Amino acid sequence: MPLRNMKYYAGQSLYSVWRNKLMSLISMSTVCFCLILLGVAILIGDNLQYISQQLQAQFEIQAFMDSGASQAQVSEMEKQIKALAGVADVVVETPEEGIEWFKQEVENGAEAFEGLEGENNPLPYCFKVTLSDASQAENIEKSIQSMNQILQVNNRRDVLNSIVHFTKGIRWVSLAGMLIFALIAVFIISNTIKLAVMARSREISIMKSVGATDWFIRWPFIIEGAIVGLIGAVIAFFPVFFGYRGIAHWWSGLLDIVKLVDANAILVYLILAFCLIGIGIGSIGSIMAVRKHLRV
Amino acid sequence: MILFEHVTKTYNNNVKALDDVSFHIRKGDFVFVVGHSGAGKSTLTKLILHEEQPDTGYIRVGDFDVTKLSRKMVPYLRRSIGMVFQDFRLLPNKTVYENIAFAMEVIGATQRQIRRRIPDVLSMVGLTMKAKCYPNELSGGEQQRVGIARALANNPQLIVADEPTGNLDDETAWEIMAILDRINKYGTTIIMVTHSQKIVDEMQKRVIAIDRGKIVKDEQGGYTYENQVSEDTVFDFTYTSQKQGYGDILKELEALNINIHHGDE
Repeated sequence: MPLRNMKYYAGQSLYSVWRNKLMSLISMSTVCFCLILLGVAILIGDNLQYISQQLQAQFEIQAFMDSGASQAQVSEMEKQIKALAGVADVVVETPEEGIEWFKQEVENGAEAFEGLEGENNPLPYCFKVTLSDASQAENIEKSIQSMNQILQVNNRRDVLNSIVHFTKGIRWVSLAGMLIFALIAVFIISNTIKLAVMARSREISIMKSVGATDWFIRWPFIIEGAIVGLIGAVIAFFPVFFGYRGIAHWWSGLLDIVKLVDANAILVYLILAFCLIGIGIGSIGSIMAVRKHLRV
Repeated sequence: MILFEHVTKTYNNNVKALDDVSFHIRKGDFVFVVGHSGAGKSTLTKLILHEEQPDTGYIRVGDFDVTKLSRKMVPYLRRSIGMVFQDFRLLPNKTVYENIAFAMEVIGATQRQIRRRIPDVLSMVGLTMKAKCYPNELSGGEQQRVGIARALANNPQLIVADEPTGNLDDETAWEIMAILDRINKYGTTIIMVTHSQKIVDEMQKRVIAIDRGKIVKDEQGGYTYENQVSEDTVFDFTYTSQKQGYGDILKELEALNINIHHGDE
Protein backbone atom coordinates (compact mmCIF):
# COMPACT_ATOMS: atom_id res chain seq x y z
CA MET A 1 0.00 0.00 0.00
CA PRO A 2 1.31 3.44 -0.91
CA LEU A 3 2.52 5.78 1.81
CA ARG A 4 -0.17 8.40 1.26
CA ASN A 5 -2.78 5.69 1.81
CA MET A 6 -1.08 4.73 5.08
CA LYS A 7 -1.52 8.29 6.28
CA TYR A 8 -5.17 8.20 5.31
CA TYR A 9 -5.76 4.85 7.03
CA ALA A 10 -4.04 5.96 10.23
CA GLY A 11 -6.00 9.21 10.33
CA GLN A 12 -9.30 7.45 9.73
CA SER A 13 -8.55 4.79 12.33
CA LEU A 14 -7.54 7.20 15.08
CA TYR A 15 -10.55 9.37 14.37
CA SER A 16 -12.81 6.37 14.60
CA VAL A 17 -11.26 5.18 17.88
CA TRP A 18 -11.97 8.64 19.27
CA ARG A 19 -15.51 8.76 17.88
CA ASN A 20 -16.41 5.41 19.47
CA LYS A 21 -14.81 6.39 22.77
CA LEU A 22 -16.93 4.20 25.00
CA MET A 23 -16.70 1.02 22.96
CA SER A 24 -13.02 1.61 22.33
CA LEU A 25 -12.51 1.96 26.06
CA ILE A 26 -14.39 -1.24 26.78
CA SER A 27 -12.39 -3.10 24.14
CA MET A 28 -9.13 -1.75 25.48
CA SER A 29 -10.06 -2.81 29.00
CA THR A 30 -10.81 -6.35 27.86
CA VAL A 31 -7.55 -6.63 25.97
CA CYS A 32 -5.83 -5.13 28.98
CA PHE A 33 -7.42 -7.61 31.37
CA CYS A 34 -6.64 -10.50 29.07
CA LEU A 35 -3.01 -9.47 28.85
CA ILE A 36 -2.67 -8.95 32.60
CA LEU A 37 -3.80 -12.54 32.99
CA LEU A 38 -1.41 -13.62 30.29
CA GLY A 39 1.38 -11.69 32.00
CA VAL A 40 0.65 -13.39 35.31
CA ALA A 41 0.58 -16.74 33.54
CA ILE A 42 3.87 -16.06 31.77
CA LEU A 43 5.54 -14.88 34.95
CA ILE A 44 4.32 -17.81 37.03
CA GLY A 45 5.39 -20.22 34.33
CA ASP A 46 8.79 -18.62 33.85
CA ASN A 47 9.46 -18.52 37.55
CA LEU A 48 8.40 -22.09 38.14
CA GLN A 49 10.73 -23.15 35.39
CA TYR A 50 13.51 -21.00 36.76
CA ILE A 51 12.98 -22.32 40.27
CA SER A 52 12.85 -25.92 39.14
CA GLN A 53 16.09 -25.34 37.24
CA GLN A 54 17.67 -24.09 40.42
CA LEU A 55 16.36 -27.12 42.28
CA GLN A 56 17.49 -29.46 39.56
CA ALA A 57 21.00 -28.21 40.02
CA GLN A 58 20.78 -29.77 43.44
CA PHE A 59 19.57 -33.11 42.13
CA GLU A 60 21.95 -35.43 40.48
CA ILE A 61 22.01 -38.83 38.87
CA GLN A 62 24.66 -41.08 40.29
CA ALA A 63 26.15 -43.68 38.00
CA PHE A 64 28.63 -46.26 39.24
CA MET A 65 31.34 -47.84 37.09
CA ASP A 66 32.14 -51.51 37.25
CA SER A 67 34.78 -51.97 39.84
CA GLY A 68 38.09 -52.65 38.26
CA ALA A 69 37.60 -50.19 35.40
CA SER A 70 40.79 -48.45 34.40
CA GLN A 71 41.46 -44.72 34.67
CA ALA A 72 41.33 -44.38 30.91
CA GLN A 73 37.96 -46.10 30.69
CA VAL A 74 36.62 -43.80 33.38
CA SER A 75 37.63 -40.62 31.59
CA GLU A 76 36.26 -42.01 28.32
CA MET A 77 32.95 -42.67 30.07
CA GLU A 78 32.97 -39.18 31.56
CA LYS A 79 33.24 -37.71 28.07
CA GLN A 80 30.35 -39.80 26.81
CA ILE A 81 28.05 -38.78 29.63
CA LYS A 82 28.94 -35.12 29.23
CA ALA A 83 27.95 -35.33 25.59
CA LEU A 84 24.36 -36.34 26.40
CA ALA A 85 21.65 -33.73 25.80
CA GLY A 86 20.38 -32.18 29.02
CA VAL A 87 23.51 -32.87 31.05
CA ALA A 88 24.87 -29.82 32.79
CA ASP A 89 27.95 -31.24 34.41
CA VAL A 90 29.64 -34.49 35.37
CA VAL A 91 31.83 -34.84 38.39
CA VAL A 92 33.90 -37.99 38.82
CA GLU A 93 34.28 -39.29 42.30
CA THR A 94 37.20 -41.63 42.78
CA PRO A 95 36.95 -44.60 45.16
CA GLU A 96 39.30 -42.72 47.47
CA GLU A 97 37.00 -39.73 47.60
CA GLY A 98 34.08 -42.10 48.21
CA ILE A 99 35.73 -43.61 51.21
CA GLU A 100 36.63 -40.17 52.53
CA TRP A 101 32.98 -39.17 52.22
CA PHE A 102 31.85 -42.24 54.14
CA LYS A 103 34.42 -41.65 56.81
CA GLN A 104 33.27 -38.12 57.36
CA GLU A 105 29.53 -38.37 56.89
CA VAL A 106 28.75 -41.70 58.55
CA GLU A 107 28.78 -41.91 62.31
CA ASN A 108 31.97 -43.50 63.56
CA GLY A 109 32.88 -43.81 59.87
CA ALA A 110 36.53 -43.13 60.53
CA GLU A 111 36.80 -46.40 62.39
CA ALA A 112 34.26 -48.42 60.43
CA PHE A 113 35.90 -47.76 57.07
CA GLU A 114 39.43 -48.00 58.40
CA GLY A 115 41.58 -50.12 56.21
CA LEU A 116 39.48 -49.93 53.07
CA GLU A 117 41.77 -47.51 51.27
CA GLY A 118 43.95 -48.35 48.31
CA GLU A 119 43.92 -51.95 47.13
CA ASN A 120 41.20 -52.88 49.59
CA ASN A 121 38.73 -50.19 48.48
CA PRO A 122 35.44 -51.89 47.40
CA LEU A 123 33.91 -48.72 46.00
CA PRO A 124 33.63 -48.18 42.25
CA TYR A 125 34.19 -44.91 40.42
CA CYS A 126 31.07 -42.76 40.63
CA PHE A 127 29.76 -40.12 38.19
CA LYS A 128 27.69 -37.37 39.73
CA VAL A 129 25.60 -36.02 36.84
CA THR A 130 23.76 -32.72 37.21
CA LEU A 131 21.02 -31.86 34.73
CA SER A 132 20.23 -28.71 32.84
CA ASP A 133 16.79 -30.00 31.88
CA ALA A 134 14.80 -31.99 34.37
CA SER A 135 12.42 -33.37 31.78
CA GLN A 136 15.36 -35.19 30.18
CA ALA A 137 16.18 -37.04 33.40
CA GLU A 138 14.64 -40.31 32.33
CA ASN A 139 16.31 -40.38 28.93
CA ILE A 140 19.69 -39.49 30.34
CA GLU A 141 19.37 -42.18 32.92
CA LYS A 142 18.48 -44.78 30.30
CA SER A 143 21.36 -43.71 28.10
CA ILE A 144 23.83 -44.02 30.93
CA GLN A 145 22.35 -47.34 31.97
CA SER A 146 22.87 -48.73 28.50
CA MET A 147 26.55 -47.80 28.41
CA ASN A 148 29.14 -50.53 28.93
CA GLN A 149 30.71 -50.99 32.29
CA ILE A 150 27.98 -49.15 34.17
CA LEU A 151 27.05 -51.02 37.28
CA GLN A 152 24.12 -49.09 38.60
CA VAL A 153 22.29 -45.77 38.25
CA ASN A 154 20.59 -44.03 41.14
CA ASN A 155 18.26 -41.11 40.74
CA ARG A 156 15.78 -38.76 42.34
CA ARG A 157 13.36 -38.97 39.49
CA ASP A 158 10.20 -39.01 41.59
CA VAL A 159 10.92 -35.55 42.95
CA LEU A 160 11.96 -34.23 39.59
CA ASN A 161 8.88 -35.63 37.92
CA SER A 162 6.49 -34.00 40.30
CA ILE A 163 8.16 -30.63 39.74
CA VAL A 164 8.00 -31.05 36.00
CA HIS A 165 4.34 -32.02 36.12
CA PHE A 166 3.42 -29.20 38.42
CA THR A 167 5.11 -26.66 36.17
CA LYS A 168 3.40 -28.00 33.10
CA GLY A 169 0.02 -28.03 34.87
CA ILE A 170 0.25 -24.41 35.91
CA ARG A 171 1.26 -23.46 32.39
CA TRP A 172 -1.73 -25.18 30.82
CA VAL A 173 -4.22 -23.72 33.28
CA SER A 174 -2.96 -20.18 32.83
CA LEU A 175 -2.79 -20.62 29.07
CA ALA A 176 -6.39 -21.84 28.96
CA GLY A 177 -7.55 -18.89 31.08
CA MET A 178 -5.70 -16.51 28.85
CA LEU A 179 -7.23 -18.08 25.75
CA ILE A 180 -10.75 -17.67 27.08
CA PHE A 181 -10.16 -14.00 27.79
CA ALA A 182 -8.53 -13.54 24.43
CA LEU A 183 -11.69 -14.90 22.80
CA ILE A 184 -13.84 -12.52 24.83
CA ALA A 185 -11.57 -9.65 23.82
CA VAL A 186 -11.77 -10.64 20.15
CA PHE A 187 -15.56 -10.73 20.40
CA ILE A 188 -15.82 -7.32 22.04
CA ILE A 189 -13.40 -5.72 19.59
CA SER A 190 -15.35 -7.28 16.76
CA ASN A 191 -18.45 -5.56 18.10
CA THR A 192 -16.70 -2.23 18.42
CA ILE A 193 -15.58 -2.42 14.82
CA LYS A 194 -19.07 -3.41 13.78
CA LEU A 195 -20.34 -0.17 15.31
CA ALA A 196 -17.58 1.75 13.54
CA VAL A 197 -18.58 0.16 10.23
CA MET A 198 -22.20 1.12 10.80
CA ALA A 199 -21.29 4.67 11.82
CA ARG A 200 -19.50 5.03 8.52
CA SER A 201 -21.97 3.21 6.29
CA ARG A 202 -22.62 6.34 4.24
CA GLU A 203 -18.94 6.92 3.64
CA ILE A 204 -18.52 3.27 2.75
CA SER A 205 -21.35 3.38 0.23
CA ILE A 206 -19.81 6.46 -1.38
CA MET A 207 -16.38 4.85 -1.40
CA LYS A 208 -17.80 1.78 -3.10
CA SER A 209 -19.69 3.79 -5.68
CA VAL A 210 -16.64 5.83 -6.71
CA GLY A 211 -14.54 2.69 -6.98
CA ALA A 212 -12.42 2.40 -3.84
CA THR A 213 -10.87 -1.06 -3.65
CA ASP A 214 -12.09 -3.54 -1.05
CA TRP A 215 -8.87 -3.36 0.90
CA PHE A 216 -8.83 0.41 0.84
CA ILE A 217 -12.19 0.29 2.59
CA ARG A 218 -11.17 -2.46 5.00
CA TRP A 219 -7.77 -1.26 6.18
CA PRO A 220 -8.88 1.61 8.42
CA PHE A 221 -11.10 -0.75 10.38
CA ILE A 222 -8.42 -3.38 10.77
CA ILE A 223 -5.94 -0.75 11.84
CA GLU A 224 -8.51 0.63 14.27
CA GLY A 225 -8.79 -2.79 15.92
CA ALA A 226 -5.03 -3.13 16.04
CA ILE A 227 -4.66 0.29 17.64
CA VAL A 228 -7.28 -0.55 20.28
CA GLY A 229 -5.47 -3.84 20.99
CA LEU A 230 -2.10 -2.14 21.16
CA ILE A 231 -3.27 0.53 23.59
CA GLY A 232 -4.84 -2.16 25.77
CA ALA A 233 -1.56 -4.06 25.72
CA VAL A 234 0.52 -1.04 26.67
CA ILE A 235 -1.83 -0.25 29.55
CA ALA A 236 -1.64 -3.88 30.73
CA PHE A 237 2.15 -3.86 30.63
CA PHE A 238 2.61 -1.35 33.43
CA PRO A 239 0.81 -3.10 36.31
CA VAL A 240 2.24 -6.46 35.28
CA PHE A 241 5.82 -5.31 34.97
CA PHE A 242 6.00 -3.01 37.96
CA GLY A 243 3.88 -5.35 40.08
CA TYR A 244 6.27 -8.18 39.31
CA ARG A 245 9.30 -6.04 39.96
CA GLY A 246 7.90 -5.23 43.38
CA ILE A 247 7.23 -8.88 44.15
CA ALA A 248 10.68 -9.94 42.94
CA HIS A 249 12.26 -7.27 45.11
CA TRP A 250 10.29 -8.37 48.13
CA TRP A 251 11.13 -12.01 47.50
CA SER A 252 14.84 -11.39 47.19
CA GLY A 253 14.84 -9.94 50.68
CA LEU A 254 12.93 -12.98 51.91
CA LEU A 255 14.56 -16.07 50.41
CA ASP A 256 18.07 -16.30 49.23
CA ILE A 257 18.29 -19.98 48.24
CA VAL A 258 15.68 -19.86 45.49
CA LYS A 259 15.65 -16.78 43.28
CA LEU A 260 12.93 -15.31 41.04
CA VAL A 261 13.53 -14.32 37.42
CA ASP A 262 15.09 -10.87 37.27
CA ALA A 263 12.41 -8.36 36.25
CA ASN A 264 14.67 -6.28 34.03
CA ALA A 265 15.83 -9.37 32.18
CA ILE A 266 12.31 -10.05 30.91
CA LEU A 267 11.38 -6.41 30.20
CA VAL A 268 11.91 -6.50 26.45
CA TYR A 269 10.44 -9.96 26.06
CA LEU A 270 7.34 -8.93 27.99
CA ILE A 271 6.82 -5.70 26.02
CA LEU A 272 7.19 -7.50 22.71
CA ALA A 273 4.86 -10.33 23.68
CA PHE A 274 2.23 -7.92 24.98
CA CYS A 275 2.30 -5.66 21.93
CA LEU A 276 2.20 -8.54 19.47
CA ILE A 277 -0.65 -10.29 21.24
CA GLY A 278 -2.56 -7.02 21.71
CA ILE A 279 -2.25 -6.16 18.04
CA GLY A 280 -3.07 -9.75 17.14
CA ILE A 281 -6.27 -9.82 19.20
CA GLY A 282 -7.31 -6.42 17.83
CA SER A 283 -6.71 -7.32 14.21
CA ILE A 284 -8.42 -10.70 14.45
CA GLY A 285 -11.45 -9.05 16.04
CA SER A 286 -11.68 -6.41 13.36
CA ILE A 287 -11.05 -8.78 10.48
CA MET A 288 -13.98 -10.85 11.78
CA ALA A 289 -16.18 -7.76 11.98
CA VAL A 290 -15.15 -6.52 8.56
CA ARG A 291 -15.80 -9.91 6.99
CA LYS A 292 -19.20 -10.15 8.57
CA HIS A 293 -20.49 -6.60 8.38
CA LEU A 294 -18.62 -4.88 5.59
CA ARG A 295 -20.15 -5.98 2.33
CA VAL A 296 -17.74 -4.68 -0.22
CA MET B 1 -20.42 2.30 -24.43
CA ILE B 2 -23.05 0.10 -22.82
CA LEU B 3 -24.30 -3.11 -24.33
CA PHE B 4 -26.99 -5.37 -22.88
CA GLU B 5 -27.69 -8.59 -24.76
CA HIS B 6 -30.59 -10.80 -23.69
CA VAL B 7 -30.08 -9.95 -20.03
CA THR B 8 -32.36 -11.70 -17.54
CA LYS B 9 -32.24 -11.17 -13.82
CA THR B 10 -34.46 -12.98 -11.33
CA TYR B 11 -34.40 -12.30 -7.60
CA ASN B 12 -34.90 -14.88 -4.90
CA ASN B 13 -38.63 -14.28 -4.72
CA ASN B 14 -38.96 -15.45 -8.34
CA VAL B 15 -39.79 -12.00 -9.59
CA LYS B 16 -38.23 -11.41 -12.98
CA ALA B 17 -36.70 -7.99 -12.50
CA LEU B 18 -35.36 -7.96 -16.04
CA ASP B 19 -36.54 -10.32 -18.74
CA ASP B 20 -34.50 -10.72 -21.92
CA VAL B 21 -33.43 -7.10 -22.09
CA SER B 22 -31.21 -5.92 -24.97
CA PHE B 23 -30.08 -2.41 -25.84
CA HIS B 24 -27.02 -0.51 -26.90
CA ILE B 25 -26.01 2.94 -25.70
CA ARG B 26 -23.33 4.66 -27.72
CA LYS B 27 -20.59 6.92 -26.41
CA GLY B 28 -21.92 10.44 -25.96
CA ASP B 29 -25.58 9.39 -25.75
CA PHE B 30 -28.03 10.90 -23.29
CA VAL B 31 -30.58 8.25 -22.35
CA PHE B 32 -33.54 8.35 -20.00
CA VAL B 33 -34.68 5.13 -18.36
CA VAL B 34 -38.31 5.34 -17.32
CA GLY B 35 -40.85 2.97 -15.84
CA HIS B 36 -42.89 2.72 -12.68
CA SER B 37 -41.55 1.49 -9.39
CA GLY B 38 -40.57 -2.14 -9.52
CA ALA B 39 -40.33 -2.17 -13.29
CA GLY B 40 -36.64 -3.02 -13.19
CA LYS B 41 -34.98 0.39 -13.50
CA SER B 42 -32.87 0.04 -10.39
CA THR B 43 -31.93 -3.50 -11.37
CA LEU B 44 -30.67 -2.04 -14.61
CA THR B 45 -28.38 0.45 -12.86
CA LYS B 46 -27.26 -2.22 -10.39
CA LEU B 47 -26.25 -4.45 -13.24
CA ILE B 48 -24.29 -1.65 -14.89
CA LEU B 49 -22.42 -1.04 -11.62
CA HIS B 50 -21.95 -4.77 -10.99
CA GLU B 51 -23.86 -4.52 -7.73
CA GLU B 52 -25.92 -7.40 -9.09
CA GLN B 53 -25.06 -10.03 -11.65
CA PRO B 54 -27.45 -11.21 -14.34
CA ASP B 55 -28.69 -14.81 -14.53
CA THR B 56 -28.16 -14.93 -18.26
CA GLY B 57 -27.09 -12.56 -20.99
CA TYR B 58 -24.10 -10.39 -21.68
CA ILE B 59 -23.30 -6.91 -20.39
CA ARG B 60 -20.48 -4.65 -21.49
CA VAL B 61 -19.75 -1.22 -20.02
CA GLY B 62 -16.92 0.67 -21.70
CA ASP B 63 -14.03 -1.74 -21.93
CA PHE B 64 -15.36 -3.95 -19.16
CA ASP B 65 -17.08 -7.26 -19.79
CA VAL B 66 -19.30 -6.88 -16.75
CA THR B 67 -20.66 -10.42 -16.89
CA LYS B 68 -17.17 -11.89 -16.52
CA LEU B 69 -15.74 -9.22 -14.25
CA SER B 70 -13.62 -10.51 -11.37
CA ARG B 71 -14.20 -9.10 -7.89
CA LYS B 72 -10.86 -7.40 -8.03
CA MET B 73 -11.78 -5.46 -11.15
CA VAL B 74 -15.14 -4.15 -9.92
CA PRO B 75 -13.64 -0.98 -8.35
CA TYR B 76 -12.00 -0.14 -11.68
CA LEU B 77 -15.32 -0.51 -13.51
CA ARG B 78 -16.88 1.86 -10.99
CA ARG B 79 -14.07 4.39 -11.44
CA SER B 80 -15.13 4.70 -15.05
CA ILE B 81 -18.70 5.53 -13.96
CA GLY B 82 -19.84 8.61 -12.06
CA MET B 83 -22.87 7.96 -9.86
CA VAL B 84 -25.41 10.66 -9.01
CA PHE B 85 -27.97 9.75 -6.35
CA GLN B 86 -31.47 10.90 -5.56
CA ASP B 87 -30.50 11.56 -1.92
CA PHE B 88 -27.21 13.30 -2.95
CA ARG B 89 -25.16 11.14 -0.53
CA LEU B 90 -22.88 13.88 0.67
CA LEU B 91 -20.91 13.55 3.89
CA PRO B 92 -22.39 16.11 6.29
CA ASN B 93 -19.18 16.63 8.26
CA LYS B 94 -17.13 17.51 5.19
CA THR B 95 -17.17 20.73 3.17
CA VAL B 96 -18.08 20.77 -0.52
CA TYR B 97 -14.39 20.71 -1.37
CA GLU B 98 -13.70 17.83 1.04
CA ASN B 99 -16.64 15.85 -0.24
CA ILE B 100 -15.26 15.94 -3.76
CA ALA B 101 -11.69 15.42 -2.55
CA PHE B 102 -12.89 12.34 -0.65
CA ALA B 103 -14.06 10.68 -3.86
CA MET B 104 -10.62 11.26 -5.34
CA GLU B 105 -8.64 10.30 -2.23
CA VAL B 106 -10.27 6.92 -1.90
CA ILE B 107 -9.13 5.88 -5.34
CA GLY B 108 -5.61 7.06 -4.61
CA ALA B 109 -5.41 10.49 -6.27
CA THR B 110 -2.55 12.70 -5.09
CA GLN B 111 -3.18 15.98 -3.26
CA ARG B 112 -1.76 17.72 -6.31
CA GLN B 113 -4.27 16.06 -8.65
CA ILE B 114 -7.06 16.87 -6.22
CA ARG B 115 -6.08 20.55 -5.96
CA ARG B 116 -6.07 20.83 -9.73
CA ARG B 117 -9.27 18.95 -10.46
CA ILE B 118 -11.70 20.32 -7.88
CA PRO B 119 -11.84 23.92 -9.16
CA ASP B 120 -12.60 22.54 -12.63
CA VAL B 121 -15.53 20.39 -11.56
CA LEU B 122 -16.87 23.08 -9.22
CA SER B 123 -16.95 25.58 -12.05
CA MET B 124 -18.71 23.03 -14.27
CA VAL B 125 -21.60 22.95 -11.79
CA GLY B 126 -21.32 26.66 -10.92
CA LEU B 127 -20.37 26.25 -7.27
CA THR B 128 -16.89 27.76 -7.23
CA MET B 129 -17.88 30.16 -4.47
CA LYS B 130 -19.33 27.46 -2.23
CA ALA B 131 -16.26 25.24 -1.88
CA LYS B 132 -15.96 25.89 1.85
CA CYS B 133 -19.63 25.39 2.69
CA TYR B 134 -20.99 22.36 4.49
CA PRO B 135 -23.87 20.47 2.84
CA ASN B 136 -26.42 21.71 5.41
CA GLU B 137 -25.59 25.28 4.36
CA LEU B 138 -26.65 24.52 0.77
CA SER B 139 -30.04 24.23 -0.93
CA GLY B 140 -31.16 20.87 -2.30
CA GLY B 141 -30.25 21.89 -5.82
CA GLU B 142 -26.80 23.00 -4.74
CA GLN B 143 -26.26 19.76 -2.88
CA GLN B 144 -27.13 17.81 -6.00
CA ARG B 145 -24.71 19.94 -7.98
CA VAL B 146 -22.03 18.93 -5.49
CA GLY B 147 -23.12 15.34 -6.11
CA ILE B 148 -22.63 15.85 -9.84
CA ALA B 149 -19.27 17.55 -9.30
CA ARG B 150 -18.20 14.57 -7.22
CA ALA B 151 -19.34 12.17 -9.94
CA LEU B 152 -17.25 14.14 -12.44
CA ALA B 153 -14.18 14.33 -10.20
CA ASN B 154 -12.58 11.13 -11.41
CA ASN B 155 -13.26 11.99 -15.04
CA PRO B 156 -15.66 9.15 -15.86
CA GLN B 157 -16.76 8.34 -19.39
CA LEU B 158 -20.26 7.58 -18.13
CA ILE B 159 -22.58 9.24 -15.62
CA VAL B 160 -25.37 7.14 -14.13
CA ALA B 161 -27.92 9.38 -12.44
CA ASP B 162 -30.56 7.60 -10.38
CA GLU B 163 -33.54 9.96 -10.00
CA PRO B 164 -31.26 12.98 -9.61
CA THR B 165 -34.20 15.38 -9.56
CA GLY B 166 -36.47 13.19 -7.45
CA ASN B 167 -36.01 15.25 -4.29
CA LEU B 168 -36.03 18.65 -5.97
CA ASP B 169 -38.67 21.17 -7.00
CA ASP B 170 -39.29 21.84 -10.68
CA GLU B 171 -37.16 24.92 -11.02
CA THR B 172 -34.18 23.34 -9.33
CA ALA B 173 -34.67 20.18 -11.35
CA TRP B 174 -34.21 22.22 -14.52
CA GLU B 175 -30.94 23.61 -13.22
CA ILE B 176 -29.74 20.07 -12.73
CA MET B 177 -30.92 19.03 -16.19
CA ALA B 178 -29.12 21.99 -17.75
CA ILE B 179 -25.91 20.95 -16.04
CA LEU B 180 -26.27 17.31 -17.10
CA ASP B 181 -27.02 18.39 -20.64
CA ARG B 182 -23.90 20.54 -20.70
CA ILE B 183 -21.77 17.67 -19.37
CA ASN B 184 -23.24 15.46 -22.09
CA LYS B 185 -22.33 18.02 -24.74
CA TYR B 186 -18.71 17.79 -23.61
CA GLY B 187 -18.89 14.10 -24.54
CA THR B 188 -19.80 12.25 -21.36
CA THR B 189 -22.40 9.52 -21.81
CA ILE B 190 -25.34 9.97 -19.45
CA ILE B 191 -27.95 7.49 -18.29
CA MET B 192 -30.65 9.04 -16.16
CA VAL B 193 -33.34 7.09 -14.39
CA THR B 194 -36.37 9.25 -13.77
CA HIS B 195 -40.07 9.43 -12.99
CA SER B 196 -40.51 12.93 -14.30
CA GLN B 197 -42.61 13.05 -17.43
CA LYS B 198 -42.04 16.77 -17.85
CA ILE B 199 -38.31 16.46 -17.97
CA VAL B 200 -38.36 13.59 -20.41
CA ASP B 201 -40.82 15.35 -22.69
CA GLU B 202 -38.91 18.60 -22.63
CA MET B 203 -35.44 17.16 -23.17
CA GLN B 204 -36.37 15.11 -26.25
CA LYS B 205 -33.65 12.52 -25.75
CA ARG B 206 -33.62 8.78 -26.23
CA VAL B 207 -36.02 7.05 -23.83
CA ILE B 208 -35.87 3.44 -22.73
CA ALA B 209 -39.12 2.47 -21.03
CA ILE B 210 -39.21 -0.63 -18.88
CA ASP B 211 -42.28 -2.40 -17.65
CA ARG B 212 -42.28 -5.62 -15.67
CA GLY B 213 -38.71 -6.30 -16.60
CA LYS B 214 -39.18 -5.84 -20.34
CA ILE B 215 -38.23 -2.94 -22.55
CA VAL B 216 -41.56 -1.73 -23.88
CA LYS B 217 -40.17 1.22 -25.80
CA ASP B 218 -36.78 2.46 -26.88
CA GLU B 219 -36.82 5.55 -29.07
CA GLN B 220 -36.02 9.21 -29.33
CA GLY B 221 -38.60 11.56 -27.89
CA GLY B 222 -40.91 12.13 -24.92
CA TYR B 223 -42.50 10.10 -22.22
CA THR B 224 -45.00 8.34 -24.40
CA TYR B 225 -44.75 4.91 -22.93
CA GLU B 226 -48.02 5.38 -21.06
CA ASN B 227 -49.89 4.65 -24.29
CA GLN B 228 -48.07 1.44 -24.63
CA VAL B 229 -48.84 0.55 -21.07
CA SER B 230 -52.52 1.39 -21.21
CA GLU B 231 -53.00 -0.57 -24.39
CA ASP B 232 -51.04 -3.66 -23.57
CA THR B 233 -50.97 -3.98 -19.88
CA VAL B 234 -53.39 -4.40 -17.04
CA PHE B 235 -51.80 -3.08 -13.92
CA ASP B 236 -51.49 -5.52 -11.12
CA PHE B 237 -50.88 -3.62 -7.94
CA THR B 238 -49.69 -6.56 -5.91
CA TYR B 239 -46.82 -6.76 -8.32
CA THR B 240 -45.12 -3.64 -7.04
CA SER B 241 -42.31 -4.76 -4.83
CA GLN B 242 -41.03 -1.44 -3.64
CA LYS B 243 -42.15 0.59 -0.67
CA GLN B 244 -44.59 2.73 -2.53
CA GLY B 245 -48.16 2.55 -1.30
CA TYR B 246 -51.28 2.12 -3.37
CA GLY B 247 -52.07 5.83 -3.15
CA ASP B 248 -48.69 6.84 -4.47
CA ILE B 249 -49.04 4.57 -7.43
CA LEU B 250 -52.49 5.91 -8.21
CA LYS B 251 -51.16 9.45 -8.14
CA GLU B 252 -48.32 8.47 -10.34
CA LEU B 253 -50.63 6.82 -12.82
CA GLU B 254 -52.94 9.81 -12.81
CA ALA B 255 -49.97 12.01 -13.53
CA LEU B 256 -49.22 9.81 -16.50
CA ASN B 257 -52.85 9.84 -17.71
CA ILE B 258 -53.02 6.09 -17.55
CA ASN B 259 -56.40 4.45 -17.65
CA ILE B 260 -56.71 1.91 -14.94
CA HIS B 261 -58.29 -1.34 -15.99
CA HIS B 262 -59.62 -3.65 -13.38
CA GLY B 263 -58.89 -7.30 -13.77
CA ASP B 264 -62.49 -8.33 -14.44
CA GLU B 265 -63.26 -5.69 -17.03
